Amino acid sequence: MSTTIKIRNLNQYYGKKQALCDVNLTIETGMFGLLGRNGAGKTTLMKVIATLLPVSEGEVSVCGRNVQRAKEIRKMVGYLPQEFSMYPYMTVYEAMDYLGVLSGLNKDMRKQRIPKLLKKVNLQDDKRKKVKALSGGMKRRLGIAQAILHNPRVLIVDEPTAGLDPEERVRFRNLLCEIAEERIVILSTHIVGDIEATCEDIAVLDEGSVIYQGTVTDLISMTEGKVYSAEISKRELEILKKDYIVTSMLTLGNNVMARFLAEEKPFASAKLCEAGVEDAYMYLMHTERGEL
Amino acid sequence: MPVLLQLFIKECKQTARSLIYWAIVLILIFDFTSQLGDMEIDRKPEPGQAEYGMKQCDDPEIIMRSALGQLTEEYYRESYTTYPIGFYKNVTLNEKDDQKIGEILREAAGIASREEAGKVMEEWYSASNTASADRFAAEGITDIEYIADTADITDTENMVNIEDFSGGEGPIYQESLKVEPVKGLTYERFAELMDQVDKILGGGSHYNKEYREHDAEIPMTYEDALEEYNTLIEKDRLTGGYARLFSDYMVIFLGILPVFLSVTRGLRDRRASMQELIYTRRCSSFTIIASRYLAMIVMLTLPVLIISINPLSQCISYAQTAGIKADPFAFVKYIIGWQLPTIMIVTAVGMFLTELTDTAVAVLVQGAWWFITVFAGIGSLDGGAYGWTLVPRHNTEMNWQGFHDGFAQLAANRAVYAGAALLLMAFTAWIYSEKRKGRLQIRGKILANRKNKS
Amino acid sequence: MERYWQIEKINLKYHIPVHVLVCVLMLLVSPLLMGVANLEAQDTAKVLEMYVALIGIVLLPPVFLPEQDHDIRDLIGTKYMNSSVVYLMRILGNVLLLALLLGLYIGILAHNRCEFPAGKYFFGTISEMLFMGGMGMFFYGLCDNLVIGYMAPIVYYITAMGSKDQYLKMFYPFSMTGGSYSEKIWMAAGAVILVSAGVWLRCRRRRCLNG
Repeated sequence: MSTTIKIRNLNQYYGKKQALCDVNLTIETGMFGLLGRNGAGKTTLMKVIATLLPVSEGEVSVCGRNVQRAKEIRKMVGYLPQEFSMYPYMTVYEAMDYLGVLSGLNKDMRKQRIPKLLKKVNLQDDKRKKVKALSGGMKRRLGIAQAILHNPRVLIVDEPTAGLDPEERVRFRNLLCEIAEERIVILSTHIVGDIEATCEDIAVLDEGSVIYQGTVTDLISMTEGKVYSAEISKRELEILKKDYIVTSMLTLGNNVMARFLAEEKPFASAKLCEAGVEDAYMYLMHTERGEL
Repeated sequence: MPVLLQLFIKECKQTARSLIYWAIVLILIFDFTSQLGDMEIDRKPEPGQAEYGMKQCDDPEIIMRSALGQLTEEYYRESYTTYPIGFYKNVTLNEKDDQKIGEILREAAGIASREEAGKVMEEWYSASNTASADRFAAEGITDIEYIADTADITDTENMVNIEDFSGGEGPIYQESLKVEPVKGLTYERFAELMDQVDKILGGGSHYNKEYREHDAEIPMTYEDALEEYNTLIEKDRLTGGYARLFSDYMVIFLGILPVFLSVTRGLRDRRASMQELIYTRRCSSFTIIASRYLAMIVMLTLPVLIISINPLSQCISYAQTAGIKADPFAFVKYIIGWQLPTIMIVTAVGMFLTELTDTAVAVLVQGAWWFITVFAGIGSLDGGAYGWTLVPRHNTEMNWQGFHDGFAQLAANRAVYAGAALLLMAFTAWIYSEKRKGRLQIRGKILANRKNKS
Repeated sequence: MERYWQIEKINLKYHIPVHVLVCVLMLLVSPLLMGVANLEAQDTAKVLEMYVALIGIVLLPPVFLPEQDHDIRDLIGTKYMNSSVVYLMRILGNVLLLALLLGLYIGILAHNRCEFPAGKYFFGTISEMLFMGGMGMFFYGLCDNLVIGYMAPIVYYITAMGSKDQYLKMFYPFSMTGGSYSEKIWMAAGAVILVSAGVWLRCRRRRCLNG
């Protein structure tokens, strides 16, 4: 049984509104990034894989099992929703233990796995803390620990780095990479930096459709030779913004170092730069909408 | 250890930590102490007591006299008490209907006018006043004020018999007005006339078959009282009677309190934003729901069992001194047979509606059900007529005969509720499993639709 | 002024229509359950005290419900307008609604030739409604749990049915039925205290207990 997720011609509707249009994806072991704006359909797609939403049209299978066989899928999938918490009056250990029982782990297994996982997410000293006393970052880490409690072959994490401070975020990414060594980790985010740091394969969703699927490197190479930077005045920046897509800028006194996308060299002072994921993502989003 | 059992233990622990659970326990303790806290075990009746209480009777003569007495009184007051769906309703008639009742009263009792009815009332009033004065004098009580108070004719009809609901203060029995039927009135014709009266009054009056037979009460003699007492200690071994009385009081509160616990439990996952973490576990929906349900049932039954130790020990210690062989398991039997089905169905209603709607609407539904049930039950407090009520009443330690006669009905009633509860539980599990798969999200839909409209 | 009206408008549009509907239904079905015509004063009191007053439990405790989510509550808490003002506006609106429903109901009773002192009974019933509703708000505020907010007045009501005024003394709700009115003054005062305490408890800065 191979560790693969196959999505074929998936369409999802909320009433009349179409949330996913004809999605086709194949996801293999390792980190897989789902990128897109808020409301692009990332959460819907993840919920379908996690059996939280019924498939409207099309076929989704996890390790060869159709997602409609929810019970079997749940054994293999760990899920961390975007917003979650746990019974606030329970301690960290109790909450893990409770979810462990629900995952069908027997007492010995729970006793063995929970401390190990808490150590992995660096919560071993907080296991007697009440859930309501945890900080946002700690809660996220506890979330990851609960999602891999039953050693799933697929881990789905929805916007896990939202609300984390930069340091927490780096730690969290590393943790996910570690976990992804032997399983599929699907990570959704609208923060490009997360993808850049962790994922090899990605898909970009826009308004329910997959507008890109492939490696990060390929995505970047699409933008090669189209990223320029120039030091311009603040007033010039306004003009530049009208004609080009500015992907980042750096304020230098009265001037601004702007980084922008252009099909060819726009003016003499513009310097060609090496493209990054952020540039590529912006390029993709705007070409897709016919804005470039 | 199977998952169900492990989850069950965890759920019990959670329940034991919840505020609402302890609030419910406190209310149950309060219920017990306020109603049965100063319970006194009945002593053997002695000959020569002033009175021994009342009993029902199936003699047509007495039924006729009692119903006609009631009709005379109500006709005189121009106000009739009915219980159309078991709920008190006062009926005042228009002229035409009033005349019809007057005619019926004349045919059945020979009372020709309202004045004549008034005269009958007055005679009865002064006679019963003298009788109770005699009785109080015999007991050495000379507080005439008090006697006049209880015998005030404008106050004889207590509106919702609150006293009956709470078991009353003590037996101050007063024989109700009896009126002789006219000579030659057959029981059949009497029944016909009374059915007519009931129809005029809109049903549920004292004159329909069920009520008029129930209303015909006669004072018990020493022999009657002794026989009933003997039944209590022989058939019921003392404990049975008191276990029924205990059940009667507890079941009133158990007809509503469990819903608060199960609604709170049902809303807890959403409130803690934990739903999706639980939804994606491999554990089956049936196991999750069943473990919660069982935990609530057990945790609710436990305090009742513990409270019952008090009346049980009183019964046993009295039984020892009186040489009665008490049944130490009587209370357990009655709690399981009588109270548990109510706990089960009320909990299930709460769980079902909460899972279905994700709101506290079950409180409202159960509140309404409880309200109607309790008011409807006021007519049949003494036991025997258990019907299909959620809260079977038997507000006396006596009346083993009534219990015995109504037992089949009671057993059917309890079995139906227990069965319905399990069915609802299974249905809840089904709803839960659908919700896990993203279907049947009623609350989400309502909210989403609202958003669209605005 | 406009701001206060805005709060009330939102309240009417989103927060309480279902609750108002329930109240109206309860009043509409009452003739099926009990007599509502040709009643004497004490019988009228009974209808009002034992039944109509229950709508106070339905309509008052949910004023805290829209901010049940702690994040929403924190957000509202940061706004210029004090959240207690928002609650008080909602309470005021709901009380006016209760008064309106009760007024209509009493009007119908009077129209049906029930004989009773309308003004006296109106205020008596309103104070019972507010007392029971206020009790719900108090416990909701105290425990941060709507279900407990419903449970408290319901248990109070059952206690009154079961034990009369034995435990409730001057807070016995069915006093007008027995011909006594002084309890209603106590209840009105109690209602003010319970409602204010409920709002105060709700607005204090504390993460609360869990049901």
